[in-house]
Amino acid sequence: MSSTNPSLLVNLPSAFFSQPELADLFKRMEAIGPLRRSSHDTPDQIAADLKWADHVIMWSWPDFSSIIDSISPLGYIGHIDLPQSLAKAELAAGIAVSLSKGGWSPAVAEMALTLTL
Amino acid sequence: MRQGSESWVQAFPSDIDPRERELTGRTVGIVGLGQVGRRLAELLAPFHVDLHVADPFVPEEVISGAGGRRCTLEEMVDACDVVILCAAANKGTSRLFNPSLINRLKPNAVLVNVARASLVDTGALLERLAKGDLFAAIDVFDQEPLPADDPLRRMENACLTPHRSGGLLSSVRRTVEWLVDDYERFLSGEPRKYAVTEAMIPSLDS
Repeated sequence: MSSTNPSLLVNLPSAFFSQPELADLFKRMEAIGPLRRSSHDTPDQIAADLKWADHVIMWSWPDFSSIIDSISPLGYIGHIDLPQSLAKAELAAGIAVSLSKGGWSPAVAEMALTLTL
Repeated sequence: MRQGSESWVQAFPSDIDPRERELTGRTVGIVGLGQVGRRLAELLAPFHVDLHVADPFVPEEVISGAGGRRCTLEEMVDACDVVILCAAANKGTSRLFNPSLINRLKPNAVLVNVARASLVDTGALLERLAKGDLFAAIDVFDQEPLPADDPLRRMENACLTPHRSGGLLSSVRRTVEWLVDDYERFLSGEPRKYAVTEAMIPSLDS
């Protein structure tokens, strides 16, 4: 692995990291560069790891928009969900942001149909 | 039936519960034609429903492409047998279903909420449910878990589920996989499939 490979912080609920259905996805992430797993819930908790990371994959929390100017420039953040406030802060900071919220949609739609019937 | 307490139809058809209805041919409204609403429209297609859509942000061609017709919320509650909430939770949708709209829902209509509890004035919904002429199917609540003494639990015309919409292992995997896919596209300089833009911000939860 080259030292120039980007460092990736994955901040998700701890159960994600032991979920068998996700194991191959974490292997793909590990193959890219240094990977740090965390389950922080507050901006204070995640601040140090954000300074270490070049890129981040996370859910929607913690909303770290209040400290976004004090961390190292991030190149990419991928979110499972994303509130408006954090989206505005990240785009204003020039970060490439992705959102996979639509991944829930098939199951939500099926639930809606089930409840309708 | 495991408990042996079911009631079998003895006199047919007079014993048929009028609350048991088919979906085919009904007038159905979808509030919010985002990814959930669009997939739901696909799922509803085989039922040949008359589909009404309330979503001010979606172009006309997307609504017609989903087999629906654009309407206001007022037109929807006046016309629809079933109203399904699929919108995001933000300033524009907070208590979108206010007392006026809830009281205007057709007698014996069905209100389904798989989106966010904040879309509905829960107090007004409880009052309408207490009248017995509305059915609700609710997956999302102002307080979760729903307190044991919440009055919604006592409503026989409300079907409650504990925020299970979406939360399947296949969905969890899909949401993470899409991010890994997009991360790899970002690293290789390819266009990202799930990129967030300024224009998308109003459609996000606040």
